[in-house]
Amino acid sequence: MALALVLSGQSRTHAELPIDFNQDVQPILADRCYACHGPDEHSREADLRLDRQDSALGTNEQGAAIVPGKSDVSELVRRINSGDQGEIMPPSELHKPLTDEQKRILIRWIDEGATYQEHWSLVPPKRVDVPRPRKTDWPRNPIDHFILARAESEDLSPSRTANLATLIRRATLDLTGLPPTPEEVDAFVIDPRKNAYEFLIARLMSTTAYAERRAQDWLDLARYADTRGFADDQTREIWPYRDWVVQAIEQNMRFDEFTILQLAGDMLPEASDEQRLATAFHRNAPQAKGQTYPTEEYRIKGVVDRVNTIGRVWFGLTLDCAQCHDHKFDPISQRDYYSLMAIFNNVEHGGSGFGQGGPTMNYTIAARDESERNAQRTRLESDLTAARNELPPVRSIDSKQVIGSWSAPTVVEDPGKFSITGDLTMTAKIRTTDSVADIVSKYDWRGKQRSYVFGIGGEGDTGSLPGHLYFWVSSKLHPFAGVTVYGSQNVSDGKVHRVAVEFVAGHSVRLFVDGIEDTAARVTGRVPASIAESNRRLAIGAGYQGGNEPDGYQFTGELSEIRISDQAVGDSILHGEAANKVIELQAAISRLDAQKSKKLVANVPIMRERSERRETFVHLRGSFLTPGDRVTPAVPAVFSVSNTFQPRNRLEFARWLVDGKNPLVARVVVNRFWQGYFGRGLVATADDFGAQGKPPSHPKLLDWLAVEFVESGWDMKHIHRLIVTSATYRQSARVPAKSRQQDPENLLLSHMPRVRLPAEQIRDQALAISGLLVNKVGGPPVFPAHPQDYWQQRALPGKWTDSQGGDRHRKSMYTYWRRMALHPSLELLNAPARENCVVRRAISNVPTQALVLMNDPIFHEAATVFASRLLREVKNDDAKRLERAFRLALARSPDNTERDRFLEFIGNKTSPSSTAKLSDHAAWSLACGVLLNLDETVTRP
Amino acid sequence: MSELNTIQQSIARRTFLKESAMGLCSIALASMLPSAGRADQVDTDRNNVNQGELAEPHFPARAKRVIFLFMAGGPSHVDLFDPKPHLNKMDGKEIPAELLKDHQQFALIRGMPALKGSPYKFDRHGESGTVISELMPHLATVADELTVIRSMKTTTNVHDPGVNMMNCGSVLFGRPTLGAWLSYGLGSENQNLPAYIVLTSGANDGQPLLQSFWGNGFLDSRHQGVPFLSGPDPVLHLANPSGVSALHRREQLDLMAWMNRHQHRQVGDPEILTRIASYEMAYRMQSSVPELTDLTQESKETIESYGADPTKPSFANNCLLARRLIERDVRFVQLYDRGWDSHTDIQREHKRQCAAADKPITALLKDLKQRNLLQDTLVIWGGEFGRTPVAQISGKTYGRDHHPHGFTMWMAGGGVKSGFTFGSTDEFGYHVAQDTVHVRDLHATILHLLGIDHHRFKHKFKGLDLGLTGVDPARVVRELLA
Repeated sequence: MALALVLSGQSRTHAELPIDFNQDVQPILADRCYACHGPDEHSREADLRLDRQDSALGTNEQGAAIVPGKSDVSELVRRINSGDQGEIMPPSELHKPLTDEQKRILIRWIDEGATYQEHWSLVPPKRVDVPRPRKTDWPRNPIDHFILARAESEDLSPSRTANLATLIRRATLDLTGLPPTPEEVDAFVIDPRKNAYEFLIARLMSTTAYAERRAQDWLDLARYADTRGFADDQTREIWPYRDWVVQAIEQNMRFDEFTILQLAGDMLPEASDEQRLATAFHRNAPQAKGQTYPTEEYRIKGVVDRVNTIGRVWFGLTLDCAQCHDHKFDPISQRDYYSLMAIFNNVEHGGSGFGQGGPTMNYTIAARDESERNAQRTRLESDLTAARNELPPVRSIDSKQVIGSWSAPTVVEDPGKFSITGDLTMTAKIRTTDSVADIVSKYDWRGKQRSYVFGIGGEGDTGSLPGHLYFWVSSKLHPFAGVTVYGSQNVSDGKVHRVAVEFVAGHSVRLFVDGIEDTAARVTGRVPASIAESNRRLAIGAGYQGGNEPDGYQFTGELSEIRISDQAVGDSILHGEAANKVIELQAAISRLDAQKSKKLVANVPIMRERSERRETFVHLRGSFLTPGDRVTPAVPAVFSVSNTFQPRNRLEFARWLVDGKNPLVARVVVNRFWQGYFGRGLVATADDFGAQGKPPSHPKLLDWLAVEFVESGWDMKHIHRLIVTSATYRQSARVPAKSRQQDPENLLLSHMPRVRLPAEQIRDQALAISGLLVNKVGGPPVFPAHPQDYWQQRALPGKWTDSQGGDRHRKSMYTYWRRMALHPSLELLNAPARENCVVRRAISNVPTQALVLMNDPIFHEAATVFASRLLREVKNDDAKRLERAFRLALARSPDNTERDRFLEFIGNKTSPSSTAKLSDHAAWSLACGVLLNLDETVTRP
Repeated sequence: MSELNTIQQSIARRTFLKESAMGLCSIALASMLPSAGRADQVDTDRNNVNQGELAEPHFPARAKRVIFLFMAGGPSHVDLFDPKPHLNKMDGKEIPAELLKDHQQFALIRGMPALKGSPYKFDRHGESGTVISELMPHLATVADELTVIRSMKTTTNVHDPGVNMMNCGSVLFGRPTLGAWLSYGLGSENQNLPAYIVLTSGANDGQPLLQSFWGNGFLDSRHQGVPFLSGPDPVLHLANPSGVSALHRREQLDLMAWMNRHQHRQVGDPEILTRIASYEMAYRMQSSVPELTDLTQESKETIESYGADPTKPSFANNCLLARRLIERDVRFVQLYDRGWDSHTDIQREHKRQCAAADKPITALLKDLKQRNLLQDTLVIWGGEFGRTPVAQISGKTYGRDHHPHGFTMWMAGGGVKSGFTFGSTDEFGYHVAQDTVHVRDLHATILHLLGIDHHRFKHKFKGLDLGLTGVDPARVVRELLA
C-alpha cells in the first residue's frame, strides 16, 4: 500500500483491507455531510443523521439512506451519484463535492456492511500489547516497539543514534531550555557508564530549569499574561501563579492534583494560600476593567473563555461553536455548552463588592527566595566550619609584650594600675552564651569614669548587637568623645573563641575573632590620640554600672587566658594568609545576610465561589441578552454521566475530569508532551481530537502512553522521561533518502525532526552562550531592552522602562507579558501574546526575524559580550578561541573547513595589512554575531 | 530537491555573486516564505511560495489591492456625510424613547440625552450630487469617485471589539484580519515587500492601536500585517547596530550562508535553505524599505498636493506612502488615523481631524486615478462605528458617543460605482432605515471585488471551517458594484 494514502487517512482502496469507519469514512461524512446531517439539531435536514447508525441505517423498504451491504439500493449512494442538480449530495451550493475516490470509499463501506464505530477519541484507551518488531536490537522502551513496528510495516528503518554531542545538546535544550556548557558536554562524552545517557536525563530533569521549560508550555495553555487584555490592558499581579506552576512541576505534582488545584483549589476544605493561588489559572482570562465595558457582557466573556479553555486543554475539542449553536461535527450540543458553563458561572465576579476586577487574594511571596537563601547559608556555614578547622591554633600576645595576664574573672585592686592612655592590645579565650558581658573594663559610663572597656553586647546599649564584641574608649581631651567599635559576628554561640582588640592611638582600632580580623566591624567616632584615665579598678569578667564596684555585666561561662599589652601587636596574633578562605566565606555570609529578603505581597486574581448559585441559561445565538432554557451544571452528554454522578460544581467537575475514566484527557495531555519534542503530536491537530481533526499517526502508541500516564499515577515526569530516553528520540536528524521519498513529512519518525527553538529559548540561549544570563527563578516580571516609544506610537497606556542590572538578562519567560503589545522580538519569533489558550505555536521563518537576530540590541549585546568572553578566556590564539566559541554555541568543535572560513573571516579584519583594521574585539563580535544567527544555533538538533 | 529549494539556492548563489543589490529583487519576502513549523506544515504546499491559498480567484477580480483608511475612534456620520434636517430641528429635545428599544445602552452616556443636530453645512457635489459636509471641502472635489454607504451597521459600541468586528468579522480577539485573509488567499504580487502593511498616525491621546488590529489570528504568521514605525527605522531593527558596517554585514551574511549550506549538506533539512533566503531578503529590506519610505523622492508638487512633510510623521505622509506601496503592488495597506473618538469637544476635534485628513485623502484618490491605479485599487474609508446623534455634554462643549446602529462609510475605485450613494438612516440618523449593510456584508462585498467567494474562502482551524464571514448571514451588496 502506498504510504501517502494511509497517512492521509482518506483512502484504503487496497482490496484486502476492509474499510475502517473512523479512519476512512467518518472524515468524509464529517467534512461533507454533518453540517446538515449531523449533531446540530437546528440545521438538520430531512431528519437524517449520518453520524448515528440508528438514523442512517435501515432497509430498502424504509427508503433508508444506507442499507448495509447494499449500496445499490441505498439512497445515499443514489444521491451522491445523482446527475440531477436538485438531488445531488452534497448540494452544489455548498461547494463541497465528493471526489470519486471518496464516493468509492462510501460505497465499499456500505457493501462491507456499513459498520459504525464510535469516534476513536471517545472510545476509552485500553492497554494494548506492545508489538514485536522484527528488528530486536533497536528498541529501548515500549515507545520504540510501536514506532518501529509501524515503520517496518511501511518498509522503513530507523536512523542510527545521533552522536553524543548532538544528544546532549538536544536533550539539554529540550529539557532545560538552555544549551549545555562545554564542560557538561565533555563530562557526558567521556562518561564510561553504560547508562550515561539515562544519568544525563536524570540530572537534567532534576533541575529547576526543567520545571521552567515545561511551565512555559503550560503557560501558553493557561493563557498566562501580565496584563488584563482589551484596550486598557492594565497590569495585574498574577505572576505568583506563574511561579506556582514552576514549583508544582518541579515537585512533579501529579497531573490530577495539578488539574484539581488549578480548577478548584479554592474549594478544597481549608484551602491553603497555594491551593487558592493555583486557581488564578482561570483568572488569566482576559478581563476588561474600564467604564466603557458593559459589566455583564464582559463577565460572560470571561466565563466563555473558561469553558473554551477547558475544551482545548483537557478535551482537545473546540467547544467554541456550541456557544451559538449545536456543534456541527462533534457531539456537543448548545445545551451541553451552557451546562458546562453553569459549572464555571458561579464565581464572585461582577457581583457586589467585586466589580469587574473579580475576587483577589493577598499572596505573600517569600518561599523560594527564603529557602534558597537558607540552603545557601547552610552550605556556607558548613564550609566555614571546615575552613576554620583547618586553621592552626590561634596565637596569643607574646609574653614579652604582656603587661598583665589572668586566667579567670577578677578585679585588680589598685586603681592606678593599667591606666593605659596609648596603644593597647587585649586578648581572651571565651566560651559563653551571654548576650551582654564585659571581658575587661576600666570604664564607668554613668559614673563618668570613662577609660576603656572590651566585651560583648555593649552593656546593653541600643547601638550594639547582643552577643557581638564591642570596644569603647574615651578621649583624654573630650571625655564625651571617643571611638566605639562593634563586631559583626556573634561570639556568644557557646563555642570557644579567641577574641582580641587592638587600639593604635590616634590611628585605628581593630577587633579579632579566632585570629581573623573582623573587617566588617562597625567603627564610629574618631580614634583619640590618647585615652582618658579613670579611677575605677581594672575589672576582668565584669563591668561598672554607676558605682565603685564592678558588679554589672558579669561574664558567665568560660573566660581565660586574658592578656593585656600596652603595645599595638594585632598583627602578631593574626593567622595571615591561612585565613583567607575563612575571611572569604565570612564575607559571603554577611553579604547573604545583608540582602534581607524583601517580603512581597501581590494582589492576585483568583477564583472564589458564590454562596448563592447564579442561574445559567442557554444563550440563544450566543447572546446573553436572549436567554433560553435554564440549565444546571452537567458535563457534555457524550460522556454519559448519569444524573446521580453529575458534577455540581467546579471541584466535582475537576475530580471527574481526572478520575482516569475520561477517554480524552490522558490522550490529549500525552499528545501535547509528544508534540513538545517532535514538533508534532501523534495527533497532528493537538487542539482537535474531534471528527474534523487528524486521526493519530500511531493510535496504539497514543493509547499505550495514555494508559501508562494514568496508571503511573498521572506522573508527568515519567512520560517525559519515557519519550526522551526512547531510541526514537535518540535518532540522528539527518533525513534518510528513503524517508524523503516515501514519508516526506516524517510521520513515521524514521529520523528525528529538527525543531526551531521557541522564541524564549532563542534569546535565553544567546544570553547563556555569552555568559549574560541571570538564572534567577520567579518573581515579578522584568523589562529587558525594548524599542523606544513602541507603546507610545500606538497610544497604549503605560511606559516601558528597561530593567536595570541583572533583570535585563533574565530568562525570557519572566519578561513582562503584555497581551496587546508583547515584546516585539518575542512576538516576531512567534511567541503568542496569549490572548487566549494556545495549544500549538506557529513557527515561521521570515526576514523580520533575521532583523531581530542580527540587529536587536539584545542580540547585538549578546554577540559583543560573547566576544569579550572569548578574548578573556582564551589569550592570543584565534584557533583556540574559535574552538571555544563553537563549543559554547553549538556544543561541538568546528570542522576543518569551518575553522578555515572563520579564521579567514577574523584574519581579514585584524591583520595589520587589512585596509580597515578592526580590533580583536570588533572582529570577534562580528564572528559571534554569525554564530548566534546560524540555523544550527536556533534549531534543536 | 523541491522546486522551491532550487529557486532559493539559485537566488542564494546570485546573492553571493554580489550582483546589484537593488533591481534584481526577485526574492520572495516575509509574506511569501513558507512556514517553518512542522506542526502546521500538514496543509502547506511548499511550492506555492508566491501564490496565495487560492490557486486562482473564484471569479475575475475587480480590485487587486486595497487601501483601508481607518478613522480610528469613529467619525461622526451626521456631521460628515448624512445630513439630518429633522435632527437639526429637534436639537436639544430629549431623544425619543422608541429609538432606544431593544438594544444596549450607550457606551458612556447615562440617562436620556438630548438630540444634537449638526452645525455644518451640507452640499451636493459633482455631477452625481453626492452630499458632503463643509468639513471635507477637498473631498467634495472628487465626489464623483465615491460610493457612499449611509446604512452601515455593526454589532458593538466598544472600541476594540468594534475594530475586531471591522477587521475580522468577529468581536473576539484571535481571529485573522482582512489584510491577513487577503495575504493568505491571494498571496503577494511584490517580491520585496510584505503583502500587508500598516501605517499609523494621529492624535496620541486617541484610542490605542493593538497588535491584534493587524493580527494573523490562526493563519500563518507570515500573513501578519507589518506596521511601519514613524521613527527613523520604519521596520523594527532595520538598521545595523552601530559598529557594524554594510560591508561587515555582507561578509557576515556570506559566512552565515556558507555555514548554513554546509549544515544543509549534512542534515538535508530544507528549512535551512528557507532561512538563507530569509536572511538575504532581510538584507535587501535594509535598503529597499528606506528607499520606499523616502518621500523626498516625490516631486514638490506631489508632496504639496498631499500636504505632506517628509520631515515629520503625519496622516498626509502616510497617504503618500500608501500610494508608493500600491505602486509596488502591496496587497493591503491599512492606515490608522487616531483621534476621531470625540466625546467631549467634537467641533474642535473633528475639525482638526478633517483638516489633517481631507486634503491627503483627496490627493491620494486623484493621484491613484492619474496613475491608472484607482481602477484596480479599492479604497475604503470609515471607522469602527459612527457617533450618536445625541450629545454628550461636557461643560461648555459637547461630544458624541459611539454609535453602531447606523453610520456611514465610503469606498472608491476597484469595481465599485462612482458618484453613488446607498442606503439611509432614519430622520434622526439613529437606526438604518433602508438597505442595511452590516459589516459582514461589507466583508462579503470586499472579498467579491477581489475575486473571492466568501462562502468558499475558509481555513480549517480547530476542526472548523473559519472565514472572514461565518455562521451569521452575509451578502455581497451587488447594488454597490460598478
